[in-house]
Amino acid sequence: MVAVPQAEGALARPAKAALSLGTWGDHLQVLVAPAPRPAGRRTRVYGPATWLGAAAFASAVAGVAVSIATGSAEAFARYSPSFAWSSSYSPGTAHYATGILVVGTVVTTALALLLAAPVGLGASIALSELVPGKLAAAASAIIELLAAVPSIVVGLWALLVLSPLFARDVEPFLGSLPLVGRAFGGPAYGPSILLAAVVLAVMTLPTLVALARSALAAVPREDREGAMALGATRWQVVRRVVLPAARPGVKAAVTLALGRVLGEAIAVAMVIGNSPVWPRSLSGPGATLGSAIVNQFAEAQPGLQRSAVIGLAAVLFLLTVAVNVAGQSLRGGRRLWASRPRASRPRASRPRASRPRASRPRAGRPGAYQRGACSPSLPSAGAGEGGADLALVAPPGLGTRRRPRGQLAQGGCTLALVACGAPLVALVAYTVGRAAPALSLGLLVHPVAPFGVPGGGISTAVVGSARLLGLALLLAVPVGLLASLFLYEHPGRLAAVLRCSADVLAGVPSIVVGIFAFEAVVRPLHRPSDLAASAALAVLMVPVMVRANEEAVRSVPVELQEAAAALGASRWQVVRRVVLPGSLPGLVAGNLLALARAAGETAPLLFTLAAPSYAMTMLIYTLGTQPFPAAQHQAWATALVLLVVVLLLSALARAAAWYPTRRAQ
Amino acid sequence: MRKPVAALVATLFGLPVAVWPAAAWPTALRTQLAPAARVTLNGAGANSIEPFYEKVLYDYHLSHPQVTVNYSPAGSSVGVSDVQQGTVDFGDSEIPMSRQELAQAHGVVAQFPVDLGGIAVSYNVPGAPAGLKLDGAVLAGIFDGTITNWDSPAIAKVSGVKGLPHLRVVPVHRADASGPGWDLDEYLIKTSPTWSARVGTKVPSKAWPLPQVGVGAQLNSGVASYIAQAPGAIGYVEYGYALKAGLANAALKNAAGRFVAPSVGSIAAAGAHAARLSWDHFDIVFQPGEATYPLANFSWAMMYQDQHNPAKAAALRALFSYVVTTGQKEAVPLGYAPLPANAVALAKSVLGQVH
Repeated sequence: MVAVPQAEGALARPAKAALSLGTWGDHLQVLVAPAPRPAGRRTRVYGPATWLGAAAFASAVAGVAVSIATGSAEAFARYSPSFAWSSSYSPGTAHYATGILVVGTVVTTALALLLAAPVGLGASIALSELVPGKLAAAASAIIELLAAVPSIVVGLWALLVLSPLFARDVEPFLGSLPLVGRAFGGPAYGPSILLAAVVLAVMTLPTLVALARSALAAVPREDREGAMALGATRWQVVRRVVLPAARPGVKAAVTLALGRVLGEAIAVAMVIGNSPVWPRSLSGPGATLGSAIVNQFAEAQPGLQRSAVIGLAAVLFLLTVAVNVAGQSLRGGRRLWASRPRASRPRASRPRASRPRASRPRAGRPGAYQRGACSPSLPSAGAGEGGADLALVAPPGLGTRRRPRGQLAQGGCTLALVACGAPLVALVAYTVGRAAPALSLGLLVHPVAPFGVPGGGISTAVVGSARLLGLALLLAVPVGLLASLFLYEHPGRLAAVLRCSADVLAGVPSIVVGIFAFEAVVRPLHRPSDLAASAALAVLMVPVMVRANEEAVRSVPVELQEAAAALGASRWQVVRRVVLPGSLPGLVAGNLLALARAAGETAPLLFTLAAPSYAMTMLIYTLGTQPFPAAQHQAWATALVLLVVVLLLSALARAAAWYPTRRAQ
Repeated sequence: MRKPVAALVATLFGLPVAVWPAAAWPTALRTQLAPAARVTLNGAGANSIEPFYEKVLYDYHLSHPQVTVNYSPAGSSVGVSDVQQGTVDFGDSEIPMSRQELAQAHGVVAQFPVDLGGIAVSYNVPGAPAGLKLDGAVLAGIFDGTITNWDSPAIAKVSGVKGLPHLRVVPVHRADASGPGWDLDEYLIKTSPTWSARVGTKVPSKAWPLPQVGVGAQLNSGVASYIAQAPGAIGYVEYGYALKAGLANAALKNAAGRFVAPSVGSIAAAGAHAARLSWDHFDIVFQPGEATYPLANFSWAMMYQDQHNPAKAAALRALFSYVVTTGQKEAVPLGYAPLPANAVALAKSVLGQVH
């Protein structure tokens, strides 16, 4: 990112550079450089290895796309093209009423967004503009940590706590309101489109706030100061300067959050009421593509019926891809096929932006690495440029008359911040409260046992999750690292395509990846296995890792690399001795965040795991729905252990990213 | 800069190892480093049998530590499709595979009964007594949405209970395909004049035929949980789940015109009528007999007759011989009836062909 264009051009041909320097280097090293080993086999292996990493990554992307395409081909061929909007439902056949499910998905998602977007935007304005620095830093740290709360825990909470509350109070109350009430008419069931939307909103808020906040924070300070100097009030600065400048970034944040919401399957299936009807009332049950796949995939008969369920996955896949692509093109308006990330192109006119500190993946926003987010520094580039222009044309007459309204709005934003944090903090507190009585050393140590058998525990699931994640790390880390080095070493069309597919894959719903793992691993091996589940988790982790790694690697100053090369280091030696050590904190942070996210996934395990007791998320899913208090206590205890693990992982990621910044000061 | 980060990584992976109580390690290691003599059997299928399987398979593992049996209780239809695709060693379904389903399998499938269970129609109506009398016509009205309130005259007439609260009836059905759904569908087809017309078929279906009415919950546990927490709810669940959850169950009108509540005894009475039991003669819904509960079914294990791995074949035979004989002692406390003698004999003879 720090590269002057010429220098980057020089590095763009690493093979040649390594070759020419390599011959010189042999002599130079002896004379000058205390390089421990001469450039040898590793240098020759390095290039091909990055190609291999890229190929492995590309094949994962292609694998997902191809398995969904071939799996659903039969259904589309049979009913084409009406399959995508058919509304006929016939149990036990291949008629799943795709059209109704699409409408259900859209309605649920839209409602979730309607709930989340204002709150999220208000909260991010409060964090970036209104709340004093230290407090804002603490609050955003908490909110970003909460982005790691697994959706299964939110689902469990909604099912056991919110659902009765909604049936008794919330839905009848909404139904009794004038005007609005018409949308919430009919009997109050509890499980409903509204409840699903609330779950999705709670789930997505932290990500939304993290992304929107970084877009707002990227608006240059000078622009704010300029407006203030013109006599604008604080709120006027927000409204007239910051928001217009950050609009693309904020829009992108909303769209990317939307992408994540669209694909959530398990938590929705738990609370939506699973009724494939045209939505008539928001407090009535409905169904989404994701929830239908959860309920129908495993049991569908091989052949047309199975193909139709995969067809649902294909429709969902296309929907999320469309939303994510829209989100990314909004984000700084870069072309999808841009040959390198826009953020890496320094602008001569804004030297501030090219300081290493700005380009490093900062401690402040690991949330930006969340699923669906491609490159954390994209909004800063886009918003920064826009902001400069807008500040110059800030309209005259920013008066003083609007102060009360401004204060009202500021109050609203602060309220939104509270509204954003409150449900998640409440959720965590509730989990601790419910789990505490059940939690004991015995519970952690003993394997899962049937009910009625004394001394049962959850260690099978804890150990199982550790095994799955370990295996997934083994699969994903090398691919993620090598593929990101490939992107770094080979700027150009191919890298652009790979980068784009990383963004696409990062947005693919995890339930779709679960189907891929079933088709690609379970079926050929003739059994569910840890390998299949880990493969699914790895496919979810890799795209996040690739993009985060690339950001980290790019943050290493090119001057250092050039210096090393000048001392005769081969390309591999430069990477090994300069690039990797320099970017290690970023690499660790990105990979840990990917791991934290994978640890909370349930949907990919649904069709791949031999028994639910082999992973914490699946155990929560199975136990949480049991009608016996003992099972629910165990579910809460497992949820607490999972929460601790996931929050610890993301806290570690933050610490890793924060550490070097701290050192530099 | 590198050392602290390395330490971080070391802590990340080292901490669990250090902190993890030593007692958990044998389990972890055992599953991790499986020697060759160990056999792992993977099964998937019916959710209704899960409480029974869970206990029996657990006991079996305790007495045969070299055999690990994984069972994924994802639903009867999952059992069928997993067997067809060959992704499990055994499947389980409340409804054995039909000819059509067998045709999609990759070989001859052995199917035999492993337990006998009943389906409770459970409800949560404050002030209503347990054992509310209901017949097919009323149930059909509830599940097709024509009876909308608990104080409806139709319910009062059949149940003989006056003064049920004015509370909305919330029918709960399974969101996934299920054996209990098949049984209730069959019962309604046999007993209600309007049900078949409303549903449009006289063939019972595992996928609930009217998902448009009421709420869909996942698996028996989801239905039972919903009933337990939502006043006004009524739904069908495996009796074992209803028993454990302490739900109120309806007494259903049987073929003899008596209202019988589900119990191990009344379910066993239904099983006793299965004289010509086989995979294509499995239906024991609405059997004659005054004490017979009308909603009952056997649960069927399914596996390929020709196992390519002799060790697995032997393990499967040993496991299921145990399940259909010794394992049956677990049935009664969990709310299942022990298999009748003819079912055990059928299971043994079919199991003998697995090799």
